[in-house]
Amino acid sequence: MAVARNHLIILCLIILIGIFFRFYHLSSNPPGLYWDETVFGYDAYSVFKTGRDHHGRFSPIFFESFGDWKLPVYHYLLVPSIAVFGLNEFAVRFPSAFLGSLSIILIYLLSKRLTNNNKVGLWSALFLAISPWHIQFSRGGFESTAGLFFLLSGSYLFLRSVEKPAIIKILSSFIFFGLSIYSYHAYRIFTPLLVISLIFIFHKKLKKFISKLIVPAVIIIFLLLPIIVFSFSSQGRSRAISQSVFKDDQLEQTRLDFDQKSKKPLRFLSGYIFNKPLFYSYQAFKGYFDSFSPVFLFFRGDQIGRHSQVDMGQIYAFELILIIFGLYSLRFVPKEMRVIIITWLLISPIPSSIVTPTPHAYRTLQLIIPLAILSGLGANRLFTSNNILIRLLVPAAIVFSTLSFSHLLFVHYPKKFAADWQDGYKEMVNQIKKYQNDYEKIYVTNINQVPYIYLLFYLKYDPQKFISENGSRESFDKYFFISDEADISNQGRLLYVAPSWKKVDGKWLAAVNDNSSRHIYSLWEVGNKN
Amino acid sequence: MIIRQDIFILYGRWEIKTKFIFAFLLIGIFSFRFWQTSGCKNFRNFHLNPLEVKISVESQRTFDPTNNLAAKLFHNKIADGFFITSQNYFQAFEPNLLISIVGFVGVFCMILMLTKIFRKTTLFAYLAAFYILVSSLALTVFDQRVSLYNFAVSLYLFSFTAIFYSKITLRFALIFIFLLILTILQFLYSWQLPQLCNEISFN
Repeated sequence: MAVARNHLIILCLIILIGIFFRFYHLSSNPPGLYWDETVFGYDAYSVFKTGRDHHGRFSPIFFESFGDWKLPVYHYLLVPSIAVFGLNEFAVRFPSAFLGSLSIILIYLLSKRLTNNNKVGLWSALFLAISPWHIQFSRGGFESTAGLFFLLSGSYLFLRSVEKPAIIKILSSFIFFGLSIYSYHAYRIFTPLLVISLIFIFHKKLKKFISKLIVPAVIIIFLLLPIIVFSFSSQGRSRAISQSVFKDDQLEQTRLDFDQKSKKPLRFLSGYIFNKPLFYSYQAFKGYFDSFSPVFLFFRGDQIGRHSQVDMGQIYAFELILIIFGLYSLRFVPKEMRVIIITWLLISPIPSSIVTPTPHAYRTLQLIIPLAILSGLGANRLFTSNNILIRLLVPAAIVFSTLSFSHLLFVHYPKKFAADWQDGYKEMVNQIKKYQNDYEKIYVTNINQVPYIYLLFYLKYDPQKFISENGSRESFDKYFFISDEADISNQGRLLYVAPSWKKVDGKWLAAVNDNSSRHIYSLWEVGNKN
Repeated sequence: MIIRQDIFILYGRWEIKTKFIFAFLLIGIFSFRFWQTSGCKNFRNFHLNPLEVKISVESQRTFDPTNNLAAKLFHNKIADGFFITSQNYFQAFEPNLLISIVGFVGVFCMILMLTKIFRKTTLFAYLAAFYILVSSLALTVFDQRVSLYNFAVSLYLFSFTAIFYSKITLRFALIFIFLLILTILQFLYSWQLPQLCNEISFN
């Protein structure tokens, strides 16, 4: 009883640590709203106000966004968040941070069930709570974090229902799996593979209550029909095609290199081996193994600034040792559960292997779960060692690494990666607000892409008005979004928001700096003959 | 289709003969890869540059207030030096680099051998594993060509041990043959040796 109470206290502390890392300065770190976050927020605001997205579609299942057709779950999670907190950075990031914090409880429950060890559950929860990878995506408006939460919920309920079958548990499990599929594109591939694997692993047990599976299976297939149809439509494939690793020009280039630079007697092979199925499979395998790169996982992370600290790995370097011990400790885990952990580990990189670039932290976020469980297994094994030095080293490594990460996250990150988060747009809109009443036309540079959505967001522009006036990314109301080559000299008197480096024939009004004091834009009055 | 391991297990001289055939196939494929590297004019550099440590410390400290205790604690030559040295060392264990050297079949054999190390204590396997750890360290210090060949030999040796320590079952044989074919294709696709070589030509 005392042990159970102690474990509960430790779990609560771990959850509090996780909440701190996910919520502290959430509005201002990451600095600025990335354009995907902004369009999530404004579309949710538009749905909240009008029932339509900002393109005018009523209660859309799929959101057109910037033409990349996003999935619905995160948008609809944002509606209550924006209703409560208003249209701001905190509201846009709240669902991700909240579900990221809840994921800590779920990994504890899942890990405890898989390893049959309460302490391993606590260790796994700790490693997720302090995980740089998971924290990074919990602090932004990322769909993947929400999808991971639903995936964990579905997996845990599935394991519970295998032990004590009940239709409600099975149905809940399938619904959570379905929600993960509707959350993020990568889960359209990962979740079905995981479910098939779970069914295969437990097929003998499932046969005993197959009648209880029929109704949930029919319901979930019905619910997944829209996304199945969507996945084969041009809109559903647009994102995958744009990011696909299967490019004809690369095949031709590789064939040319082979023909020109290989040994002459072997060149006859060129016609046989350079065909699409074989070559594309080779490309996919290369992308797959990139996700297991030790440099990516433990030292340098994803080189995209929004996805990692860049100066450290996706997870802590000391976890390399823990994972090795964790892999060794898998032999003490029940066989079926061991297979689940290994299967989850092996199928996690599959969604990212067919698109570029690789490795990609966002598309392989699900890999954090088996890694946290393995780290938990390894830490538990080391911490139960009789060697006092090892028992001191483990917590020392955790504390130092976590403090070092905290320093990078809260001190360096807002300054170093401001540009990656489109920082400066809020300040731009604030400056426009000061001058806009004096002008009938406002021209804004689109050098940093889609400025229109930032104006809509920070002006809290009436979505109904935007829709009814057929607003677009080129213009709405008195705002026009132009390239730097556009000639505005004959447009009359107007306010022009130009890139900071551009020299404009007009009267300089104000500068726009981001939070790291970089000069991003300048406001000019153009066309005033006085 | 699940292949039960005990459908087909070789024993005695047939087992030894089959193991030697597999070993020769591995020698063949590894020799082919060695021959491919003969066209390499400039091998990839794994050397650690000590200047990287100083640059890292100074660039990190630009984001901290001056004379800040946290900056000195987290960004110093010891911590950054250890981190960068470890990162440099583990570059040798990039999956795509290992596959580039020993192919899918070699990596399969190495993973098999690793699981055997976890389960049984075989001195030769431990020595072969230790050889890999030492030769990957040599990559960061010594001449590129020699240390890379040395590293490749350590990986090949470890792969060979898997053949001789494994039971030859139908499942093992099928996986081995399949991966061998994939390895040949992979070696042909990566004729440029992008993971190992900066400049290659046979003309």
